Amino acid sequence: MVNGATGILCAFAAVTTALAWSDAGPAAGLRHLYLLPTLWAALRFGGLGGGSGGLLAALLLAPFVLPAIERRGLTGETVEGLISLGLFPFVGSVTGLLARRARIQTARYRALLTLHRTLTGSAALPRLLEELAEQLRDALEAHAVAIVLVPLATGRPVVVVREPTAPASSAFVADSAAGWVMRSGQRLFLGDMASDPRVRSAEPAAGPPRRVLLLPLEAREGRLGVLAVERRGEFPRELRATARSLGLQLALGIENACLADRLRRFAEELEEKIQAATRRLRELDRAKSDFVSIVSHELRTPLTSIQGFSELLLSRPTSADASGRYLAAIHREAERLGRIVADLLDLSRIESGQGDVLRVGPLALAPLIDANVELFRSQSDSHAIDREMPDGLPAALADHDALDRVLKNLLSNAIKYSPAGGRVRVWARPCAEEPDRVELGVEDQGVGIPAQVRAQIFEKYCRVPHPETGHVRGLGLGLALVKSLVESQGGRIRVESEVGAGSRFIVSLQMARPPAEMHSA
Amino acid sequence: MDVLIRAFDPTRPIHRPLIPFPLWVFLPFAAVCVVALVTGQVGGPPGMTVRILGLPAFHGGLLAASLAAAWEGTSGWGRHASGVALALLVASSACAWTPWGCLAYLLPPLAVAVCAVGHAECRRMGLAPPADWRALGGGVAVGCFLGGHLLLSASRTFGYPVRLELPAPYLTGILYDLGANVLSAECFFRGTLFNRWHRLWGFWPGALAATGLCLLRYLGDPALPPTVEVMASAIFYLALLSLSGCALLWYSGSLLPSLAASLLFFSAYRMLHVW
Repeated sequence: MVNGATGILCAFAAVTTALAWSDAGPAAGLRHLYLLPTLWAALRFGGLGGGSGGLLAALLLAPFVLPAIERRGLTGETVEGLISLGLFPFVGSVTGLLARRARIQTARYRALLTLHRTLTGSAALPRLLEELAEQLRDALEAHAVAIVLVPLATGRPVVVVREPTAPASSAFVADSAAGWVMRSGQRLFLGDMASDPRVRSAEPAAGPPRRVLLLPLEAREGRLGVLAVERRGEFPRELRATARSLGLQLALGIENACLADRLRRFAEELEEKIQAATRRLRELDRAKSDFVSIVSHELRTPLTSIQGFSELLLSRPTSADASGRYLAAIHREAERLGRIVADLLDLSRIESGQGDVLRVGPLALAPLIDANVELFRSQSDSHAIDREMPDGLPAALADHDALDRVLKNLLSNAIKYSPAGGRVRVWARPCAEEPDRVELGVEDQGVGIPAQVRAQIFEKYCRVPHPETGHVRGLGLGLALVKSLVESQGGRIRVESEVGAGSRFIVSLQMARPPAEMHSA
Repeated sequence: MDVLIRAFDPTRPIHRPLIPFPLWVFLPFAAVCVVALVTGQVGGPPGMTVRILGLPAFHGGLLAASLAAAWEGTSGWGRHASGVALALLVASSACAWTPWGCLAYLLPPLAVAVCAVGHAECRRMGLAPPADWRALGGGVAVGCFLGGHLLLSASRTFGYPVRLELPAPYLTGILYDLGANVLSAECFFRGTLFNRWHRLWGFWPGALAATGLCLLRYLGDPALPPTVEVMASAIFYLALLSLSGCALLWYSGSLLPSLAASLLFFSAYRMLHVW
């Protein structure tokens, strides 16, 4: 600024020297040269600069004009000089005003363009706001610009400040003027921060006023935040209009940027979900293939036995004893085949959401547990199967057949997955944490379930490979069926396990009568 | 940015009085002025009572009003105003008794400077170092240019002689300007009135209003020769000087540049023999 002013002053001095050196009269042609620095000042500093330049030209020309008027009176020549005295300030101020207006318009359009260019960029929102604040500061010739944004998602304000004092503080107080604009949604113009009674500066000072315009950033989705523009000195009406227009564009742009950001995040999430679903589908596909392979194998094994023994019976004469053994084997394999088909039917029902109609009612657990314990004791010599129940165990709300299948599945698993034998414990007791529930547990001392697959064991087709239990045949449906049956009775099932130490399956069922009722009864 | 962190109370009234000081501040000074004028009229030494009592009362009134405005209704300005008025009285009295008594006119600016150093309130009227020291150079340039232009125009156009008087009378004029005339005008018209009005109305309305009042003050000054060309020149140059002072205060936040401009201009004016 000083360099420009110095150049202008030098130009004035040069023209004056030329006029004095040539002993010019009031209407000397050289006087028109004053227009050059006058217009220079106008284009450089606007209306005030142009007016001051013109006034300076008139002051410098006056000593050539006024003495001539005093000596000769108003002649054509002196009148010409007199007109020049008025013309310079007029030309300077008008040119300066027009230049300034054009500059503001240019800055406005440039800011708009930059806003759009910045907003369509790929920068993250905080970085984007910093760039926008800088652009607005340039366009509005402001001392400082702040953008306070309250994203609807988080509600935590994002504050970006651009001012010459670095580093700019990005603090924001809710009961400040910006906070008030945010709450009320009204525009606010503070004529002078230093002396406005509503917000007083601590430091008394003279000098240019600190005028601040605060605009709410409104968009379709609501109030996004506040734009604050501080100027040292005048804040002309047209510049305020420009600020309002830029604020509007800014709000729309920020909203679009937020929407684009949200869309981008949504697309990323969607892509992740699609990838996860694809992975899951692949796993399911592989599981189905395994399932078909296992089912085929499982079906073929008893069928082969049935076929073999029946061919033996048909093809050669056999003794009554041998026939009995063959028929028993055929019967055993047929039962096995029946269980497989029953499991498959159950699976089909579960998948279609059509389970059996359960008759849930008060059920005494002790007889059921005793029957199953006796049954499995008779089938396995290597396991010690114990039962543990307190006296007066309350009845549970359950379906007899469903709970029987649950218990058989769990006991069967406990025996299958503890190949080295050991103790299997079946117990039932009132739940300590929830007085209105009864718990039924089956514990074994088997191979246990690794923690990483524990959450998946209740899913269909899930089988946990283990070197010691590789011989165990199955479709991986047992626990899925158990879970489905328990939940359909209003119960819950959970598992606790330690690899190498054993597993504990706990079924929690609603008590048939709460303890209070039992006592009162 | 203050607007984000300072508490804002929308219920407070935003109206601020047009005159930033209570008008009763002028009362004692006006009373002294009247007494001086009446005494002069009824047979005292011609001009003496006016010079001894009237001048300090007038300038003291302007400075007291400025201090009252700077304190913004709080107490504490009174003793400073009294001190400045007393310094003015001492200066005018000394000036009347001895030719070198004019040196006592250094007291009022000294009193104002001491007050400004000790009290931040004085910053409100621009009694502070400029934000940009180049503004002081600007003030010197404006004063020299307008003063030089005045001398050139007056001598070439109207043939008024330009010469330096004997040191004592010239020094008296300069020191009177420094200690009373320029100091009170700058503090009151620029530091107080313009400083309030430009915040209310903007630069140009504030500057034009303050300049208008400043012109009235000088045109009503009995020391100004009542000829058409002098009056017209006074209006022209004092208006430019006042507007420049407003711009310098506005730009720098300090009265020092406009004080320098005015002092240099009046120094040039004192070289012109218009009587």
